[in-house]
Amino acid sequence: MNIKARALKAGDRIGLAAPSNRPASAAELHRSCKIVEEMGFIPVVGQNVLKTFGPMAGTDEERLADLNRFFFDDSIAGIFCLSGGWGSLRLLPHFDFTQISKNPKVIVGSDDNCSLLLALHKMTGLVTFCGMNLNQIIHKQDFEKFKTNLTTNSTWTALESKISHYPVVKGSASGYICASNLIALVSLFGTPFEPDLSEHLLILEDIDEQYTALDRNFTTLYLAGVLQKINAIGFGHFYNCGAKGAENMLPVEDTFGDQLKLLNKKACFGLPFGQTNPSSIIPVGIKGTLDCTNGVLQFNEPSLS
Amino acid sequence: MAELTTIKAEHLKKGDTVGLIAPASPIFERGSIEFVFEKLVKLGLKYKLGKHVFDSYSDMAGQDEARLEDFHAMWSDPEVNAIIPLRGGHGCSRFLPGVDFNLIAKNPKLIIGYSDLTGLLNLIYQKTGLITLHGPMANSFYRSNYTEEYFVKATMSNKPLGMISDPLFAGDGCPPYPPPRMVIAEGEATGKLAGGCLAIIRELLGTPFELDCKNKILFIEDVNEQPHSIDRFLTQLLLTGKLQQAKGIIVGELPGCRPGTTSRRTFSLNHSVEEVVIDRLSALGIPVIYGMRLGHGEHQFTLPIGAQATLKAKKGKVSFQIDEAACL
Repeated sequence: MNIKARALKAGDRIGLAAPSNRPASAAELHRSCKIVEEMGFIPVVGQNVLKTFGPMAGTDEERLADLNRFFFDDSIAGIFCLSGGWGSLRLLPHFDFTQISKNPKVIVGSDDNCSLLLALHKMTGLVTFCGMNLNQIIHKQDFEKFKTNLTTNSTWTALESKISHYPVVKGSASGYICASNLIALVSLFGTPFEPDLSEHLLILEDIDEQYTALDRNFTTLYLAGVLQKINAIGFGHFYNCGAKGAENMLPVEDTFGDQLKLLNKKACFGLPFGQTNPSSIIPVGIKGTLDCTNGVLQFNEPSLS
Repeated sequence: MAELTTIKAEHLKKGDTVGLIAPASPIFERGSIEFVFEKLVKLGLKYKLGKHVFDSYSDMAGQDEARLEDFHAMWSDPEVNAIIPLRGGHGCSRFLPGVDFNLIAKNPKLIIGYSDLTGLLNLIYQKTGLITLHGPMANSFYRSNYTEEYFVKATMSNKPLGMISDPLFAGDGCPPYPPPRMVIAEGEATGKLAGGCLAIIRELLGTPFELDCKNKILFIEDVNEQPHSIDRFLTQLLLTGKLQQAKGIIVGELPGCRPGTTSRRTFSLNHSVEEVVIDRLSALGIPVIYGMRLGHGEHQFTLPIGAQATLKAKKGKVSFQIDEAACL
């Protein structure tokens, strides 16, 4: 019972929004517009994206106004997030999810914006896209994949990690896909926006975090029974994560891996997903198959209509 | 659900034995444990060391089973009168599903800790009714006179802690930030105490081990978190409806939470941490204060989780009183 947005086509108008942090600079915003133009779309920049409220792109009302304008303007075919950081969680109680479900459109983002993407999927059934914020599209390969994926209504080609993958518990499983930044996902726990992950394939990434903070968030997944009830778990990049000043710290491949071995849950590391190259867009809410032995995430249905 | 019957442990007396364990992170240099022994002996206490305190697994003192084994061993040991972790760090939440709360209920003892112990201490109270102490641990109870005085008052006496005072800030005219009693929202409230480290309270949201905030005076503190992370924790707590259930909130000092001062993820634009506190907590319709020394700073007073306390917050006049004794 998912709702799929229409695949994008050349000449579509795309709303550029900042649900969390303000883009780092006007120059970065300009570059993001150019990238969208080069994909063949027409960028429409949210009115408030360069405002400031702490690290955020304006107050909750201002960020919400930009998003609502894009959701409810029929001339806007999709919404791309400009930057991550912090702030999308603050907006969740203020959306009109019923109205949004009547206007299904592509929405893509990563990092903190995953809180928004997962909540949107939970509350509306809309297939949302966890991938890259525009300021993270640097390599041609990622640019091409972004454009190709969002402009097709056929089933996407599988994600393959080839040599970089590490199987923790081998095997293959199918289920609905949930892809997210780990901390953005756990930030929904206990709230009305927490996703039901029973029998899902969970795909996670994070960036710039200390291993302890990551293990705390992973522990929440264990304590909440999520690790026990998912069908399989795959990990993308944990870019620039590490001990960060602590005296002793095993990497997540060890600590997460040990827990997953105890639970005998099919799991692998090294999927080409997350906030560094090579990255990919992963749809939230379609069926897929995760082959942990070989590090392949296969999509079993189209993501767009 | 019926109201929990409160259980209290006996207070520590000279000659009593303290069980020292490392349920979270280990002491990195073994030498630092010598100070602990010396300080405990000075208070007239004996000590016993858990079997696994020097184990190591990532940043934890051994695997979950090893740390849990030491924890349970101290509760079952009739010679042990109080359980004091050597330090916090990371790890207690991981073994919560294995904790034997019946064992604890049958052998009530004093347990004191904070930071990573937050989940464990609140859960012990929620599951058994045993009043636990939120305060310094074996490696930190002597870090300032203020800290040690409250530690001794809370653990070695059966009188209520009463009116809490602030540390005397020594120095030549420039007191350390923040002021200890900044009023975020005025009001008065009486309720049982619950709370601790925000990162741990947040870690347990959406799990069977989450904090019960209903009708509580909630105290929260953290260390070395960026303001946006504090915003994340408070926002998530608001979305769960938990903060709205509390009767009053005391936000601790939040040391190391100024932007840019950590190895964690930093932004170029920031709120100050007190702007975050004001933005998230000032409109709940309950009294909220910020700055009391109850967490990771040099000075820390001890609070009994589950004991009744009264907060009166009026601009220019703030009082916080612990009305009920923590132990027998």
